[in-house]
Amino acid sequence: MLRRIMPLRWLNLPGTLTLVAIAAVWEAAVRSGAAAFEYLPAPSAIGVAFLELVRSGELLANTAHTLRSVLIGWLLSCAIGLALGLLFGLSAFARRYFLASLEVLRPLPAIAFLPVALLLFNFSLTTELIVIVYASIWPVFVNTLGGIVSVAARLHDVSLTLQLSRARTLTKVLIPAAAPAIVVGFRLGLGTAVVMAIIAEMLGNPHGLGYAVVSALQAMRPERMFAYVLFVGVLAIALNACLVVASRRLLPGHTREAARA
Amino acid sequence: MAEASHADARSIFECHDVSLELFPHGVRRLIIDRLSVAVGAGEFLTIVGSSGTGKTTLLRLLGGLVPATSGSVRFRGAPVTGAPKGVVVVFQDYAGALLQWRSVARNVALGLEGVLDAKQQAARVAEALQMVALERNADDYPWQLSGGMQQRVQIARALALKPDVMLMDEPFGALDAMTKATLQDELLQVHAQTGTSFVFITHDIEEAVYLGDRVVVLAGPPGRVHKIVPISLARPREQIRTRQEPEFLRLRREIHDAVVDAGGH
Repeated sequence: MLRRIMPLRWLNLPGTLTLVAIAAVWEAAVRSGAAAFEYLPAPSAIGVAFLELVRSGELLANTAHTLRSVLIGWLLSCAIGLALGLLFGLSAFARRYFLASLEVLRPLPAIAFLPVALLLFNFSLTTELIVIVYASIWPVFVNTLGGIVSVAARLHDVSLTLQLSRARTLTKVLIPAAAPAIVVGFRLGLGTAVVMAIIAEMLGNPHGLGYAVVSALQAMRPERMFAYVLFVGVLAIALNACLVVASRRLLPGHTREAARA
Repeated sequence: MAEASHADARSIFECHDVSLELFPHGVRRLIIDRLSVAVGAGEFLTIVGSSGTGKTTLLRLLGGLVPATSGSVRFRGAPVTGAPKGVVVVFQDYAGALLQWRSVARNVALGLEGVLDAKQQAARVAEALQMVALERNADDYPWQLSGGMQQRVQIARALALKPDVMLMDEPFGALDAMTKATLQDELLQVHAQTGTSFVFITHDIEEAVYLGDRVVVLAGPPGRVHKIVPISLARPREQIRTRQEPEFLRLRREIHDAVVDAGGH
């Protein structure tokens, strides 16, 4: 278990070398003037800007805001998506009468709600959270629903013959059986939450990393903008990695699938 | 041909004129046709029949997993509506029937959780695992075990409930001959020790004779009782000795002929 978390195992040497090579070519292209964009900074300039942002505390403050919004929004989406997924997964009645209504809402792009949320809640955290939650519910909901309805009929037989109550069947058989699918939903939801937080901060709530990107752009500081953009990417990867490790720990009996993958 | 004795005072299960219809793709299909059979208290009843004779469906009817369309299924005199307490089904596909994310011990404990306290649970689980010789595998996961061992886990899970009746649907069908023989003897031991009644479905005629007090031969489709053959072989039975007895060979012949006569193979 420990070895799997060791950074050395994660360090993909050929992949890293490729990244370094790309950065070197980029640096050379900018310095030699081969890439003649007025606002394309060299990787070294981006690095310097990044260190400045760290030192001034600006990066930390913006990251704290965005992380907080992402986590609150994501947790809300997980709770709502899970509850809806279980309800629709367990109730044929709910599926028959209400699934169509939900499916109509699903293709609506969350960002289309931003003006509505802005009108109601102004430039605020609430606006940001509405956009995050609306978008991130879907992956959780769809994966939970799919996970529950595809639990094998045999396990329903087993629950009946072992005299499990409906509540016990749910908590001891159905949810654990669907757990791998539910966790995939949580992970996809987190990815969505990061994207939506950045967009919402660019357009609806002038705080955090998204707004920082836009501010750097408006201030004609491309090296800062790139530093923020790259940092958002790293943040998203790190968040996903945390969830992968957490889910391996939470689902020890499911490691067979993990070992096969 | 032969009528079932369904009014026996000592019977624990009674099916009387039971029919089951299903409507796959909107077409009416009769799966079981006015079937009557009784299971005596403590009896080991084996059921054979070629495919399509409704063996599994009959077991699901007894286990309360599917309701009869007409006729009555009674357990201890009370009509079966839903899975009756004291009756537990063991399925053929052990891999699908075990919770793959739970250890062996926690699988066996599944039916006891919330019924017994932790200490009683642990004792009951240990006892059940011992009956199937799995006490050393309590902490393994099912997917780490061989097929025979996984089926033992499922049997232990059923035994842990101390059932009055175990309904077994071709439980050894997917196992090799050696493992099968061992499990048959373990099952006979459990039967002798606990007095549990068994309804045991198999497509293996020798297995049916070796295990059973009576063998029910089903005909179909639609499923109905073709013949019931009492097995008078002495207990305890022994793999080599019992199977060489002239009576065993005669019964094997009789049941084989009955299965063929019932329209099988």
